[in-house]
Amino acid sequence: MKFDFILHWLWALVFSILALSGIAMAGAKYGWVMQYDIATADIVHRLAAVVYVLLTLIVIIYEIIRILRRDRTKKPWLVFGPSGYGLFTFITTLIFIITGAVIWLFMDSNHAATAFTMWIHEKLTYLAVASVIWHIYMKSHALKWPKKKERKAR
Amino acid sequence: MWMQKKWFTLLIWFVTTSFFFAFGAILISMFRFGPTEQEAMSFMMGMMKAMETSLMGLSMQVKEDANVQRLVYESVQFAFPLLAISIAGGVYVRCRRKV
Repeated sequence: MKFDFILHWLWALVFSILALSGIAMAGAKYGWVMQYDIATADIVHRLAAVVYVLLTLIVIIYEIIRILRRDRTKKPWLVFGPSGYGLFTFITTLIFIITGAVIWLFMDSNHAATAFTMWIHEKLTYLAVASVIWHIYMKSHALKWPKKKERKAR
Repeated sequence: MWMQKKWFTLLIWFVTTSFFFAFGAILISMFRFGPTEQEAMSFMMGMMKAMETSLMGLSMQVKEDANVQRLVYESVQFAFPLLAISIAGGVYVRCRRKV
C-alpha cells in the first residue's frame, strides 16, 4: 500500500474525530453531539490533536525528503500540495495547530489570547468541515462500490 | 488496487458519513433555538467534570505542582536532543537507501 494513500485516510479519520469531539465542546448548543460528556470529548480531542500534529510533521518531513531527492513523481493522495485543496489544507492545518497550542498552553494564564484563538479555531472548523464536504463531492467517484468481476463463461 | 477492495470502500463510506454527520450537527446546532437552561447546566456540569477527571484537569494539576513541573522540565531537556538525533538518523537512513 502506498505511503501517501495511508497518510490521506489516517488524516481523514483523525480530522473526523477532531471535528466531532471539538464540536461537542463549542458551546451549550453543541454539547448534544457527545451527550454533554465534555470530559471524554476533551481527552479524545487532545489525543487526536497529538496524532494530527505528528501526521503533519511526517507529511512535511516526507515532502522535504522528496525535495532533497528531487523526486518529481506525482502523489495524488498527499494531503498537502502547492496549489488548490492541498494548499488550503496546509494553511488551515497550520492555523489549527497554532491556535490549538495557544488554547492548550494559555487557557489558565492568558484569557485574551485564549478567547481570540478559540474564536479562530471554532470558525475555522466550520469552514474546514464545509470544505471537506465539497472535497467529498468532487471525489465522490471513490464511493462507488466495486463492480463484481464477470464470471468466466463455462 | 486498494480502492477496489470492498472493505476499503466501506471504510471510505464510514469516514465520509462521519463528516456529513459533523456538518449536519454544526448546522442543526447553529440554527436551532436555545440553548435551554437544562442544556446550559448539562454543558457546565460537563465542563466541571472535565476539569476534575480529564486531561484538562490533569494539565491544571501539573501547572500547580512544582515537583511535576521540574520533572517535566528535566524530561524535556532529554527529549529534545533525543528527538533531534532520531529525526536526523531517520532522514539519513531514508536518504542512504536507494529505493
